[in-house]
Amino acid sequence: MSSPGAADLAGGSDGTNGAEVAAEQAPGRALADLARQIARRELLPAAGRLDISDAETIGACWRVMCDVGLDRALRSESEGGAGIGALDLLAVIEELAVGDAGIALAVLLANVAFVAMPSARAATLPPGARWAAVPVGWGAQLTIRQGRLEEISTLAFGAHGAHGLVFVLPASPGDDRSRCSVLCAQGSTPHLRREREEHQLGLSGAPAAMVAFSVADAQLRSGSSLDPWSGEQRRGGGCEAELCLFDLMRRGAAAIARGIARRAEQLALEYAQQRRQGGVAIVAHDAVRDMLGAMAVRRILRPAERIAEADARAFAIAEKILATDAALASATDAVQVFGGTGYMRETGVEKLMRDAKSIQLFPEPNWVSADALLGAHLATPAPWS
Amino acid sequence: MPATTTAASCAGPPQPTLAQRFPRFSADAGSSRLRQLERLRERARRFAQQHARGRALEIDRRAREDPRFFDWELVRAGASEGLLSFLIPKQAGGGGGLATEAAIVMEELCAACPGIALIFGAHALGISPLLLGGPSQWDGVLAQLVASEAQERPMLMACAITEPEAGTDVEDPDLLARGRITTHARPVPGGYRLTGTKRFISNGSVARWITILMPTDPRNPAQTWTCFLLDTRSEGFSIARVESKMGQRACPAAELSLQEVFVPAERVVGRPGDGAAATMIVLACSRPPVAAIATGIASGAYERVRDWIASGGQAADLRNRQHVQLQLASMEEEIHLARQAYIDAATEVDQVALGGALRHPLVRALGHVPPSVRRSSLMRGWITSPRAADATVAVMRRTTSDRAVTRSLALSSLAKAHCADVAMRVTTAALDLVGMRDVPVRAELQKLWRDAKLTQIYEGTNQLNRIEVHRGLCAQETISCLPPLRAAAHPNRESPATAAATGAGRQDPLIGPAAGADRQLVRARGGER
Ligand SMILES: Cc1cc2nc3c(=O)[nH]c(=O)nc-3n(C[C@H](O)[C@H](O)[C@H](O)COP(=O)(O)OP(=O)(O)OC[C@H]3O[C@@H](n4cnc5c(N)ncnc54)[C@H](O)[C@@H]3O)c2cc1C
Repeated sequence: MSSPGAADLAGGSDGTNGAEVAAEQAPGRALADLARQIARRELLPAAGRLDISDAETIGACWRVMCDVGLDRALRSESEGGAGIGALDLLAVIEELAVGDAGIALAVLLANVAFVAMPSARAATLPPGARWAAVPVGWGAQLTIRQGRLEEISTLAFGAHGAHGLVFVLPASPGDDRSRCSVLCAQGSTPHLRREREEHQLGLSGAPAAMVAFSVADAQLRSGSSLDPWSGEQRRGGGCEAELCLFDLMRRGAAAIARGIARRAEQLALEYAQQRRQGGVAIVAHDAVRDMLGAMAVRRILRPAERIAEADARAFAIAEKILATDAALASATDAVQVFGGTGYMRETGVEKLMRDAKSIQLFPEPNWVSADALLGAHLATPAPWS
Repeated sequence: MPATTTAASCAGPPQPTLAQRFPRFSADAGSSRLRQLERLRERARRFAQQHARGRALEIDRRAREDPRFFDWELVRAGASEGLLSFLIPKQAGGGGGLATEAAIVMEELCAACPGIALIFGAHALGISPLLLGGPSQWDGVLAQLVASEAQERPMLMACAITEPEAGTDVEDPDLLARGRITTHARPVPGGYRLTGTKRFISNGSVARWITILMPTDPRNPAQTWTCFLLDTRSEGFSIARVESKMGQRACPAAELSLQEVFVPAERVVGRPGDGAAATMIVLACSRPPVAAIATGIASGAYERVRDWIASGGQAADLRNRQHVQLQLASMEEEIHLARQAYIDAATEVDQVALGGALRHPLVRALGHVPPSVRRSSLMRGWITSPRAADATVAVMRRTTSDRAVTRSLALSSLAKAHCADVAMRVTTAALDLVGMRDVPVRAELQKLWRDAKLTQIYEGTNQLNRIEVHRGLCAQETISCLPPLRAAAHPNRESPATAAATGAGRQDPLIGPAAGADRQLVRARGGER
């Protein structure tokens, strides 16, 4: 399986030096540059329509992602992907999020889905199909009978309109931890019910749906026939994959948050130099400078990317907490720098605030993430698990 | 450590009475006033529960799709509870409420839906400058508002201060002097012609009357800032756009376009040139209710999340988590302190800025004159005369002081900025407790969170409010919040009516007194441009 291993997420834990890594990452960096251009040229102009989950716009943006292989970038080129590593993917996602955080999330979820499913299965999926990973963590409802997982129901970003979903469970609900870490469900399976989330706060480029998946029924069915394909399980070694997949989602959330924060800072800085109040550009007022200064501090103080493998899990969680809190603070301040104008949808600043609040809750709220962090450190399970 | 409390102890407690909510205020207020306030609050709550809460999300959705969407049914329902007239002086047939009443109503409404509450809040803001006009305003639009409410054909008001190039700048006289003001009320025979754009005006697209502030001389905005009562049916007035907002969508925010709109001289509110001072007093009065709006948002979010957790169900795993209990306790704590901040500010402004004037023997005596007599042409002529306008200012200056109003404004600003931050913190924390769980309360909390952000921006940004706190409390400054005793210190200050009284207008019987004064103004500025 070409999943992003813990070593990949941990960065230079294999002992390579920075220069070697840079050379190795050149294709990834090129992709990040491309992502930056796509964000500017394709996503930013469409952000308003993405914000209302306009299906046509989402479809058009998704085609652009697929054209450059970003939908399954972690897969090898022979498998239709871009063959980049997880760190490169995170850089790409951050760039995309500067344009639209929802589309960036859709790319993250697709990549997690594609690395989570078996290679053979991934190879059969037509190009352009949008799959989405569904983290089944805190807040998801699991129906378990006699130790068997019967149904999953949860609210999931990107689930509306996706061709298929890959449920990622952080820990198996029964005794056997390796049993049920990844579950795939094609969109057409009758065991999957989806209901569009009507009141999506942000990240609308990845339209959310309430998802209910009858695992038990799907398993019965998949035993006799794989078409429609559903309910396939990943067994054995699932725990490692599960750790990585969840952490990839957390680090992806952090990357999206950084993109949001960068955009917020950029808009606020530009506006503060144009807008005049009190006879001067508002950037001259300490009240505004304080906010802009704090945004810069949060941007500059990004965590080191290279960490020891053993700390990969804790790092992913800590990074997600810090980056999403920072994004919310910066986006909120950006609205404030804009004054009343920032509260109006057309400026796109308040969207950043809604996107930031939404990513802060993905894949779980930060207070729950912090619990998981302690769990990783102290080897004690979080109270909710 | 997991707590051991039972579900019953977490279940939503009955609403506390005002005496429980504001113990210190209640002890001072006296039992009859408290009963009055409790009755008013009960009406607000009835409207909130029966009409606002259940429709809040739907109206929010419809207004997102079409920012011009407006639900008049809600206004009629609110009117039937007296929510459009409780601030109008008793002498004009209203409830005679002040900032305290407005604050208590706003908290109640906002806990249900801040957008719907803002319809009534913006209406109250529109009324505020008229209250400062004293007896001269009792028998005009204020009485009409009361009558229309009684006839179930309610009319709304709005207040227009903000301009495209000047938001913060029009909320402070010193900044106003430096601001880029693009509106202009040009004196013409019999009144003024108003031109320019006002932006982000709540209720702007639905109001029948708008109190609007602009300078009669744009080169000298601070000294000639004047409040007008604008009939939105006037020729030249139009709605340029209605904004698509992040939240508080039930109340439309409009851009107003004025092209030479004629406003007769008698619709100048207060005296020409007194607008900057009036704005300070209006803000001192309106910021406590805005603080209460924020507090209502916070308490609405808190009560929803608290009750959801207490209900078990999908929240069963949360009830006994200490983290959750600490969060709920912090919310309760923040809301309690926010309430004390806004009630302190409201009490102060009621006593200091308005209360003294309302208790003044002259005003009380006029209040005892039967409306039919007051509305006779003789009496009305006197009440609306420039001398009476001067007398109104004199009464204010006698019953309060610049320092007292500055301090009151600072307290109001303190409450507004603090409560707005509380609203953001509480709604954010509530969303964190619910996370991505698919529960109905999440949509309501998300909306309250979006609504909350506005409280840090309108009625002056929190930054400006804190600058006001510094000036009034930290640096103990005194701002000129009261109009000067006598008008006409500056040629443009002289109202057409004042000029008429001094004989200027009599020189040209064809044009009439006000027009004569206008000619004087034109002469003073070196001819018509
Ligand atoms: C939904 C909505 C409803 C509204 N309703 C009404 C209404 O009914 N009537 C009405 O008249 N207005 C209304 N307003 C306008 C509101 O009062 C203004 O938005 C507010 O005063 C801020 O002005 P601004 O938007 O122009 O921001 P700006 O003044 O441009 O401020 C931009 C930023 O610069 C900062 N800043 C500006 N000047 C200074 C300074 N001197 N020192 C330090 N910092 C400074 C501000 O704090 C802010 O962070 C409404 C606004 C909104 C968003």
